[in-house]
Amino acid sequence: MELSDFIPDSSDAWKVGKKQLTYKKYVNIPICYIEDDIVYVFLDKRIVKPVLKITKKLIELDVEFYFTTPELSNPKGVEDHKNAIIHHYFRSYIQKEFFKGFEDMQFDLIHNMTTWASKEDCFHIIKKNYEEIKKIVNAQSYDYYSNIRKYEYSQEIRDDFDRLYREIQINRIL
Amino acid sequence: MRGRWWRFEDANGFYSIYPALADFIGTENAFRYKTHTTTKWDTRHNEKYSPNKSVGWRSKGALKTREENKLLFRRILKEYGIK
Repeated sequence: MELSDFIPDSSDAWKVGKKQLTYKKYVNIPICYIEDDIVYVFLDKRIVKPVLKITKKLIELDVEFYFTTPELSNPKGVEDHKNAIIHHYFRSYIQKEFFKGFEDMQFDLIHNMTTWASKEDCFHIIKKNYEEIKKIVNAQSYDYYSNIRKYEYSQEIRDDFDRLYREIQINRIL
Repeated sequence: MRGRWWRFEDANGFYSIYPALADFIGTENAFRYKTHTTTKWDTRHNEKYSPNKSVGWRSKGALKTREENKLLFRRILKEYGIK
């Protein structure tokens, strides 16, 4: 298994580095790396389309892969990486680009997260992060001029996120 | 780039004080600057205060900005019956 196997198209933007695969959008942005025969993809909102393409490719190749936070591509690292990764999973899930993209390819991001969490034995921090992101999703403001309640995230994403914890628990049991 | 006294938030929602070029990709401002392009000779100030503003001196379609290219593309799609 090599990084060059995961390149989904013939674009010149893809570049295989020493340890990671990068995608060029003005600068070379790291997109995935291999550790212990497991592929880790950076869920980066700056390069949504390449991330979706590489996910599709990994599903086709039937390789074990998980997502991670782009903060870890920085050599300085993160203090609590497990917490940061789960927080980023939820945060990416509510972004409409990833939400629609994964929905179109029928990929369950949350199932992927729960599998990773059970592997790393950090299921207990899911609830805390879920509650944090739930506040962000349901944030609203009231426009007194036109008497309209405004939400930053769409109705579809908010409804889906409300029943998400139930799905997580079902995934845990299964 | 010089540091800022306020926090800079990138597209992923991470904060930094010393943003690099890569941190600006995909942010709201980056998209805004892409869309509202003005050239040296064609500014909003000229459009508003020019004595010729009623004449319509602004050569629409010739500037090849993002907005105008979009209009042109839609026109072509309509012409071929795709949209």
